[in-house]
Amino acid sequence: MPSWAVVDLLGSYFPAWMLALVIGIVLTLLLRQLFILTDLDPYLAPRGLVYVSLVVLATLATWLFVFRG
Amino acid sequence: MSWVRWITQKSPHSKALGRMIGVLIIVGAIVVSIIAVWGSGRSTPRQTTPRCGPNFIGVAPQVNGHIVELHVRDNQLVQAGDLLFVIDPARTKSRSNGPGQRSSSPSESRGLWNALSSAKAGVGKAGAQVGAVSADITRAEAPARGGARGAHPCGGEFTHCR
Repeated sequence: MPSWAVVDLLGSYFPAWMLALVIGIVLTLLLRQLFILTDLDPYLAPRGLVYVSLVVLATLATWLFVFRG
Repeated sequence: MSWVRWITQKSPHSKALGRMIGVLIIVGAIVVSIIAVWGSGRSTPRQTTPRCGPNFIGVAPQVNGHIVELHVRDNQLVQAGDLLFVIDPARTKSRSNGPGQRSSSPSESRGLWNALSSAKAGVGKAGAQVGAVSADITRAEAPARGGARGAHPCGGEFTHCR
């Protein structure tokens, strides 16, 4: 996987970190729905810190393993 | 998603599982942050004040004139001694043949004659100043010589004294 600093998305150039952040937020929202369905959401304490950490984790993981190769 | 509910409902340790997942997420975020910060500094070194400049080498000919031939292109690699350009040889030859065989334009010749007249006028003015200053020197030294004789207290009186 090549290292992309800028991603060409439908003719517009976006920085890779911005797309990684969007993907991280979307993944976090999907995982939250999964936690709610599995009744694990009430036990993710402290929830604010856990979901913020999940956004950071998903964003940086996407940036490291997808856009930086 | 009935299978998911089946899994979670059948799990007697949902609370412990949720706590463990939360802790793993927080620890994972910290670890990935450290890796990202450490990796970005290693893979893409950066400098706060980067500077880049060309290596300029001044080239100056020994004579001035119009360039009639250019033997180099932009950004061409050259070696010492290579011919870069040719300056108008007619102008260069006229300078090297001396003033007697110099070929110049009428306007240039007129300017040189004017310069010669100005120089001659300057010579005359300097000669007049030399004469004036010489006269001043003569006038200044004459009373001093005469005064030296006349002011002598024994010059006239003691010669005729008994």
